[in-house]
Formats: sequence, structure tokens, C-alpha cells
Amino acid sequence: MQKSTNTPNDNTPNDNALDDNALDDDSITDHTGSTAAGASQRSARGPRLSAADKQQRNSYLREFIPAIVTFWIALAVVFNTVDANTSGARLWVLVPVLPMVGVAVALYRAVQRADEYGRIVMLECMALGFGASMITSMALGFLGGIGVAWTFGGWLVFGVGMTAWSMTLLIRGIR
Amino acid sequence: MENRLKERRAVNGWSQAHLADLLGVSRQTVNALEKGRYDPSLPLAFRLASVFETTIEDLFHPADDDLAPPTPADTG
Repeated sequence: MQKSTNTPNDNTPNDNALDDNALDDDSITDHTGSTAAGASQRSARGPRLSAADKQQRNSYLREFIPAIVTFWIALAVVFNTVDANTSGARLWVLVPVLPMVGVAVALYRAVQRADEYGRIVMLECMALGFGASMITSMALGFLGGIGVAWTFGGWLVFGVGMTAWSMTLLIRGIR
Repeated sequence: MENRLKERRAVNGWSQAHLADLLGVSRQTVNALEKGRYDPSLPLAFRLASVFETTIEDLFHPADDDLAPPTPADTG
């Protein structure tokens, strides 16, 4: 009986690769490494992630999770303690923004770690989100020019940009 | 650009993930290459040729549109 000695770096055939599904294993994988393919499909088609996918996903999550957890903790603390009538309220209410710097760094490093195709996809999606944010902020600026001011306009800019970015990333992942 | 990556991968009996491992890229990149949605950089094309133990010309060949010189309409 011959013992299989397949390793990721040799050129020996993968046992399940001759399966038709494995040869056409188009699935939904984004560039942070998460998959939308079902577990049953995954087992039938063999590995859904390459070693580079796993390494990129793990590195991204290692940087992203602490930052986002800190953000949510800061958000809860600040909005349970902030008093708009105190002199330091304007600084205190900005504290949750600080952990978001960590999120931005995690995203930046994810782009840097991505391979050439992944980097193009990520940057295209970010560009669309940026464009959507710019158009929204311009519209709010024009409205402000005739005296129509909206207190939560900043959140609208953020929400539109994030939605455009994440939807584009999702659609690119599905294609 | 057209390519024979899927065909060559099938001959070797590799999954997309296995080829991605050999190239050091994501599986989605291999998928995009095979579907012709993305043309690789020259270094990645050389890595592909090396992995399949062949030449870039054997793996990639230009589509008819790639050979035609750009017309004024193409360049705006």
C-alpha cells in the first residue's frame, strides 16, 4: 500500500481534485478570508481556502477583533456616562473614535497583505464606498447651504459609505 | 487574454485551493484567473509557468481583441 505524501508545496495530485466540483470550485470568498459556502459544500469540494487565505484571514482577525471590541466597550461606557452639559463632553464623546484607528490600521494592513488580485478588489470596493460618502456629504453640504441642516448627517455619510463598500465587496465575492 | 489554466489544473488533478497554495495567492485569485476576469502580473505569470513546468506562452494567449491596435474610438 502506497502512502500518500502530499504536502502544500509539492506538485502531486490532490486526491479530491478530480471531482468535477473541485475542478470548478467557484465559491463566495471575500478577501478577509471568510466564506459564504455551506459546510456541506465545503466538505464535498475539498478545501475552500488556500494557505494564503487562512493566513490573511487570521492576521486580519487578530488585528480587527481587539480594535472593534474596544470600540464597543468605549461606546457603551461613553454613552452611559456622557453629560452634554459638562465642559469635557466634547472630548469624552470622541473617545470611541480612537479604537477605530485600530480598525483602520487592520484594514490597511489587510490590503497590504492581500495578493495582487485581492488588493485590486479591496481597493475598488473602498473607492466605491469613498465615492458614495463624498456624494452624500456634497448633497448634505448643498442642503446646508440653503439652511437645511441635519443633526445626524455625519452618520448618514458614514452609513452610505459603509453600505456601498460592503455591498460591493459582497457582490465582487459572489461573482 | 485567454488561458489554459483550468485545463492544465485538471490535467494535474489539483483543486483551486491547492494551486493557490503552490502560487501563494488566494483561491479567489485562481478562480478569477481561470474565468478570465483577471490577467496576472508578469511575476505571477512566471510563477504559474513554473508551477506547471511550462512557458507563459503555453498558458496564456491573446484574444483577437488583444492583437488589434487601439482605434481612436478606444482611446477616446
